[in-house]
Amino acid sequence: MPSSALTRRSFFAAGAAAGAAVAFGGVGVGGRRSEAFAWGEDHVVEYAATTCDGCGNKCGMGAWTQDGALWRFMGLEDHPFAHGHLCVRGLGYTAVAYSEDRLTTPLKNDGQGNFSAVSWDEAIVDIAARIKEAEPSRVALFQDSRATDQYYTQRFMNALGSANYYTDTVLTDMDILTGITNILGVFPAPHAEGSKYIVLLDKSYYEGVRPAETEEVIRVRENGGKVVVVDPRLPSIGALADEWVCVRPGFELAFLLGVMGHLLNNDLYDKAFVEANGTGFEAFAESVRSYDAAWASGKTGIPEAKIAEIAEGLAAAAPHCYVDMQWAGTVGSGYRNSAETVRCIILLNAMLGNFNQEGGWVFPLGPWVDDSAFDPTVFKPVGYPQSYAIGAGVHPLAYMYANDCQAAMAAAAEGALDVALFFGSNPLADYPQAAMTAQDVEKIGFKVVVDSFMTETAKTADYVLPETTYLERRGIVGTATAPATVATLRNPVIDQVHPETKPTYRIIVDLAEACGLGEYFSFTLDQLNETYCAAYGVSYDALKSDGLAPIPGCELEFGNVPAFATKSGKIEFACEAYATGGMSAVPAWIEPAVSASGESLRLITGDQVFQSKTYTMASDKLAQLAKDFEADRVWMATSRAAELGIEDGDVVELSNDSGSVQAKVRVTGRIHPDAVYLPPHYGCESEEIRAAFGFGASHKALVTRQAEPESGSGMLQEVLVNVKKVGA
Amino acid sequence: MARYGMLIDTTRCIGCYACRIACQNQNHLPADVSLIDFHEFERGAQPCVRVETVPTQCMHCEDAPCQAVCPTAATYTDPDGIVRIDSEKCIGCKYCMAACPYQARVVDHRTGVVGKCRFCTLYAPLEEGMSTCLTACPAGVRMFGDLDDPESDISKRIVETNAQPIAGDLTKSKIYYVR
Amino acid sequence: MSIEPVWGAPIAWYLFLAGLGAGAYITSAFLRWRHPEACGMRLAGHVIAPIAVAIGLVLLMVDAEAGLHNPLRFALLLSNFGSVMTWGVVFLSVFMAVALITAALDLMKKKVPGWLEMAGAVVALCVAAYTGALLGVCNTYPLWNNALLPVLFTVSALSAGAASVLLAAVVRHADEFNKAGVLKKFHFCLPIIEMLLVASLCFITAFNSTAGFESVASLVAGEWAVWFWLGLVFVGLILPTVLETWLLFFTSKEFEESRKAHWISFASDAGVLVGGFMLRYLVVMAAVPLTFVM
Repeated sequence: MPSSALTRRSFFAAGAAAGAAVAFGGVGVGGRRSEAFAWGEDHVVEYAATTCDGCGNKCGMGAWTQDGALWRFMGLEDHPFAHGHLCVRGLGYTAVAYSEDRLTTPLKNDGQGNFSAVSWDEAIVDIAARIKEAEPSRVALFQDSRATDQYYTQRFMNALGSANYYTDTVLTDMDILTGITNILGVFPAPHAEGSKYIVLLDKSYYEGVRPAETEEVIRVRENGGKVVVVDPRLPSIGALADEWVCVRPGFELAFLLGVMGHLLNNDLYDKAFVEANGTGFEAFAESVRSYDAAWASGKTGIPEAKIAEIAEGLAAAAPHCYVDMQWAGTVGSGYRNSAETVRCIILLNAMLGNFNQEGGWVFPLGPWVDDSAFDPTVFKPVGYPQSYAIGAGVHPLAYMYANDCQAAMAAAAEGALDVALFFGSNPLADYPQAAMTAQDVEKIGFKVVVDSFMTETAKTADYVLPETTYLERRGIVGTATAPATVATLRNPVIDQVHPETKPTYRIIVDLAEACGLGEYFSFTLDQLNETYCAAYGVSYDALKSDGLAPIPGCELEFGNVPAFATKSGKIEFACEAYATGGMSAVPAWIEPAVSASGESLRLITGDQVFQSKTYTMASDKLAQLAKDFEADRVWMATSRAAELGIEDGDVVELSNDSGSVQAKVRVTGRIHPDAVYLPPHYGCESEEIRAAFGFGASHKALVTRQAEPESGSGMLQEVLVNVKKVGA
Repeated sequence: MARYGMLIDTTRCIGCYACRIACQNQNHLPADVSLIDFHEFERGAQPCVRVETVPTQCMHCEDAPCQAVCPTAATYTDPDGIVRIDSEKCIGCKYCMAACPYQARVVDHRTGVVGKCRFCTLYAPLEEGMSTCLTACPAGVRMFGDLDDPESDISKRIVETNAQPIAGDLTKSKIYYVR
Repeated sequence: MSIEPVWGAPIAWYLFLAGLGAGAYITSAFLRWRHPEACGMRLAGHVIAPIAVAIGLVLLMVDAEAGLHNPLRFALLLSNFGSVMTWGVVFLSVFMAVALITAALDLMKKKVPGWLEMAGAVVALCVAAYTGALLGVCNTYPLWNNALLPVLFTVSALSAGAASVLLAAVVRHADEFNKAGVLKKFHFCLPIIEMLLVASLCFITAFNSTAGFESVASLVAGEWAVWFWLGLVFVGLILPTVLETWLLFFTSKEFEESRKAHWISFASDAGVLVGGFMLRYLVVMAAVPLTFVM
């Protein structure tokens, strides 16, 4: 429970008046006055350090309660992603704990879509019976990219003997994972602080930058460095950049090839570094040399001189510079050429020789934990499933540790799934081609949804189990990798709001026991955390009170060359895996799958700075922000709108084979004329989530379920929509 | 006595709304009551487009029109120059809302009392972990301090950046903008 | 975020009813001077005045929610004599007192002292002008912040007050109605003056600023256009003017004094009342504030 209770200081006791909204008597003023929106006094204020759950970053968060109720939140000073700040999403998502729309008890579907309350025992026994009945290979478990209590969920599936564990990797980071594992074998992170030249590529897809990054970008410019945003849409952080270079969507690869070609043709790359650390550079150079700034200009619409200028700017600043690779962004799952785009980002940075350099790309050290850390008498070894996951092996370049949730949906359509467990995952709202996904989910024999809210997917489930929110529970020890990597822990901030809710790990343990798999879960959460703490060399008590602890031996030393865990042990400028995976061994131009013309425009998307997927709309504070600022509008470039006779504020219909939606238009200079932008957060169809219901249009109604043949990545932005003014 | 004011550097603002939510949390406001508003301006045309976000709130005017029209004198200026509302005097007539040139006042629909920013961040140094528009901003957009103290950071920064009130000398506002 | 109007229908009703009450009182005072025989109409004016203002004040209190929950706070209303609203409270309080005494005396068939009625009429004029000044001092709203508004609201108040008394006369004192020729002629003039003032307000405000232009545009060609042209201009101003012109100048005296003509007059006065409310409502709702953040 929250520690370090402190009562308000005597300062605040002065000049108080009676009443509900009591506050400061103006300092030094005689007489009693009470003030609107005052905090009151004589309250018990408590503090807990925990982690945010607004997105997958899990920033460290300090939380204050007043008389046991949530009050205010700040980022943890020592958390490398937060540096004392939370983003708006983290600040506002906290409102879900007290939402009146929360699920409070297990619910059972009568088969007609009517839910009635049942006991946990009844629900767990019934669910376990259905799981045991089913062939393990016909059972699947889905989580979203936050993957709450993944140790438990994955272990449960392994114990069950099913490989069908899915997160939404193919819709987010598949190509980044593919690229990093094949080309580098070690994970990079930007070191903005101390950089002299940063190219922010693709920030618009994931506007919610890590809070610390905002400050770092400002500092780069204050120190005379340059920040260039290359993006089809001007993101919010673009306000801090020197300039925005508007690239044709889907042609980011051409920009990168042009920059690399320019570096090669003008001998502007770090020869010593690539020779010492790369393999296949000759073949690489031969292929890439043919792409120069002029060629790239034709493809991207960026002036040739600008491409050359950026290449030369990077080269001049090298090695204290980098081209950013945005996780959860377009480059990880956006286009037909995303796998190639990611590879080029990696290799361009390698050409700049910025690895483990100040202001370049650094390779943070993480703690090494293997099976030996786990006492087998407590953590019974679980083994691995004998069969592959549904969808595995279809895409030769796919990152081997991430299963393909889209393939699972396609298989469900063929009747391949008897049981599906959705833990905080809402495919009906978050997976492409919403209408088809709904049909496919319908074909799954038995469905269980574990969530805090009655999501669209929950409404189709046989059982809905109420989950506690992140503010009411302890989590599993994790890490935040950075130049100084820290261990992190989610700690409870408030008492459980609804007594009948349970955290994910608890539900898994109950299910496992009912399935006869209890032996694999005979440890407590504390034992698991103690084990991680011992392996990391940190104190569990420190994590409980501080939310984070530096991991000894995980401080980065600048100047060291990272150990490349690739096949060759080097940076693979020419990569055999890519060749066998259906691509060329060295980078080459790949045309995007669709092209815009006239009223048929490329539909692009991306998280708004105050939302994440659709789940943040359950927070009334974040939902109200969206409503107040009409964040559900579809963006269209000024020039394109003029051409189509569309004015700001008009309502348009966006349609294609997948579906059609209506939205109000925001005419803006902030987007490439080939594209229309629709945010992925709105169009909630579950009236049980009142904050979100009925606001905005669904982006996923328009997106095709498709995959990059080589990596299986979702190609979320290879979608055309017809734009028609309603009533014209 | 001090004369407190704020500096808002819009050249650092990314329009993320974190200040609004932080303020709502700190001050126990419901989702639909916000003391901070945002004005977004898009300037230029492609390929040269800039976006400027200007957050506004109570400007703590020295010539406060809200105070002038308040029939119950619920609105007052304290000796530190902070324009305040005595919530136990407010009848909710909304005359102050009509008078405020910045639309900075809102009705708290729970009580009918009109509210606004009261520079709560003044107390941030006194209390740990204040989550105010100032402390929560990841971009360091805001600065708070004594305008009468020539040595204060805010006074120096106003001079350095030639920061100006949003509407010139309209109401002698104490929020200065870098734009 | 879009800007919502600060006030809505309750305040428009309040402004209208306070003006109507004041106008009714002044009408009675006028009748005493020019038509001393029209006792029934005078009584009607004396009764309408406090009732209309009282209903208006109740609406005002209902709109002031924080005060409604804590009624004692209304006692603080005399705290700031720099506020127009405080002066309004003074005028309304004095007027209510005078109007109630006047009505009581009249109802008890006692003679209302001339000085009291004169004083009451002066305070009534202050109330009528105050309803315009209340909005007029808000210098953020060009549609309000001009010297025409108090004049317009006063003329409209007199017009509505007279209309209410004439309505009562049609129903209950047809004989007196026929004899109140001077009142009717004055009453005939008021919508014409009002028309002139409304037109002036629109023209001048439209050229005052962008916000002024937007306010006027929303009235004459935007969100409020139907209400403006149909409710205010046609029903409230043109219809009464046309009907009264016809009755006063183009019909025989016999027809003018017939029951049929009375009901035509009734329709014209009802139109004036509709127009009186529409005027307040539209001015409250259509005002767009100046933009200082740009």
